[in-house]
Amino acid sequence: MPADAKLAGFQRDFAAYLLRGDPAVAAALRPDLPAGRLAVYRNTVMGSLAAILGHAHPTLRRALSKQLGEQPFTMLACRFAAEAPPRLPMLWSYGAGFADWLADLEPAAELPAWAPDLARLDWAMHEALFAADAEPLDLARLAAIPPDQAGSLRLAPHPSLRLVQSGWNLHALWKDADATPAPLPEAVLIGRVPGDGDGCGEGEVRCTRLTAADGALAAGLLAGATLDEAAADEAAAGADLQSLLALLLQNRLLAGFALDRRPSLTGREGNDP
Amino acid sequence: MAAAAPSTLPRPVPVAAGIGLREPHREAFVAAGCPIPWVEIHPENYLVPGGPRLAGILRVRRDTVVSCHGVGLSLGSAGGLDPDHLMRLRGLYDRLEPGLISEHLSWSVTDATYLNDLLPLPYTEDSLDRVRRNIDHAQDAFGRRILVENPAACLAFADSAIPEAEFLAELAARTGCGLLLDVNNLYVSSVNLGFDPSAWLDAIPAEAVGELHLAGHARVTVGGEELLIDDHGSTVGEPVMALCAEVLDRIGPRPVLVEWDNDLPPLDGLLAEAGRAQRLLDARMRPVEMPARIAEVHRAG
Repeated sequence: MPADAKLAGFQRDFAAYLLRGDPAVAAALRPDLPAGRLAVYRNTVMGSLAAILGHAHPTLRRALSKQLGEQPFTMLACRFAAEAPPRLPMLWSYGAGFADWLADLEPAAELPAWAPDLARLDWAMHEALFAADAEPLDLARLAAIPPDQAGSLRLAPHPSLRLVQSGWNLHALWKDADATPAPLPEAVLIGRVPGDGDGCGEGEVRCTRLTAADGALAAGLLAGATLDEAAADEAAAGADLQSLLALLLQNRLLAGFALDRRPSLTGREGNDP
Repeated sequence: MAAAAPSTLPRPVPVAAGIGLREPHREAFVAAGCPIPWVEIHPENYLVPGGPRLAGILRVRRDTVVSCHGVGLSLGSAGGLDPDHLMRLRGLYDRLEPGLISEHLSWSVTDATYLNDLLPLPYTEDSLDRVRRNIDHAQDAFGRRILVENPAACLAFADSAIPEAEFLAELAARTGCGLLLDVNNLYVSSVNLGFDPSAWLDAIPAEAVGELHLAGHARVTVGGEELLIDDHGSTVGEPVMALCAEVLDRIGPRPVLVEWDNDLPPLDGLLAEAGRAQRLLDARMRPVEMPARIAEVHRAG
């Protein structure tokens, strides 16, 4: 319809100004108003998107600003916002692609090598907070499994469970603002631990450091491998299966299990509504 | 307040002052016993799969009347409304049963990109028809009436042929929607664009107004000129309170909401602002709702 086409063209021009500074929309303004007023809207859009990305990536922002000052994070966030603006009006879900985008930046951006992984840790924690609720696994059901069948178990993680594997000391950087980035293969297990209140939606997000071997084992289990299959992975050599299972069970980060078949609830779908 | 059954009918928003409830205040609000008759939330913040935020707002809803003030539907979008977002909102509204549902006379979505602001529309016959169809679509999807809020603007467009208040009145007449009269937005726009807010109010049908908003604004310098920005980051300015008094005198008492989004004060600071709004309402409700003798005693106090 031509009427809507004209409005659509105006809105496309306005968006091009907001995201990229393209001045075409200024021609639509009432002539007595200064075109400089458009900047109010561009500043609001870009400033708030950068703030939203910063809110979702607090560890990365802190670590970058410690090394380079506050401005580099804001500039990166504005670049990302211009290239990959939100698709959904739920802004808690905005920023899912930030870590991958950072990893793909050209070397000239002089981004520290640990930055993408730190962004992955931040995003995993952010997603865990909003992930779906699920009743934790009933330990009595697990205890009833005959020991000779335990190796055929496949675990169904709680929807909030995430794993970030890295070559950097991510856990220390998250936990301690004074920590210095150092090359160190490790993994961080992230999950929302249910609270003791009256709703299964309560709870807090916790991070636990795993060795690289335990991380490989956890990656296998979260991907739906049986206990035997995950333990047979070469990268998991020396991993401590008992401790990992105890960690998952104590924090109620398992929603169920299956015996030698793919789990129906994997928790790896992400939070896209 | 009596505990409600787990599933309740939508409770109407009372003619009283309420606050915009933001996440940093939610736990303190519940801990304080939900100390105000109603709150307003941005539904997009609660369109989450699960977790403490969703559980928390359902907890608030148990004891308090909730109004939902959408910021993402984009009633002014040339491409129509996103049916997925309508259904997401519908799902949340089925759970929260809000006393009021409101949206904005603005746009935020073009080419499936969500621009995080309430952007101004040219007021033309074409855009009037587009917004009318979008409001019809939203009211059909929700199965109920919505309120539409006047924007705060510092821009206007050469094509705009319809005065804003007439545009809103026409939308109310054609769709049956109500109006959310944001007094701060009216004041901010009137200063930025140089119009008389009293003349604007003359064109608004009083019976369509279902709610008022109050908020603080900032004074900024852009390109050498001073502009007002509705940043919701401070107490409500005296000129806005005075304009609110004028609105209430014209249209009668309505639910009044105080919004505060940036540089949040402690919860008590926001409740104190709601107290200012409640006093404006009290001064206009007493003659209607209370016997004259008791009203006199209250005035003496």
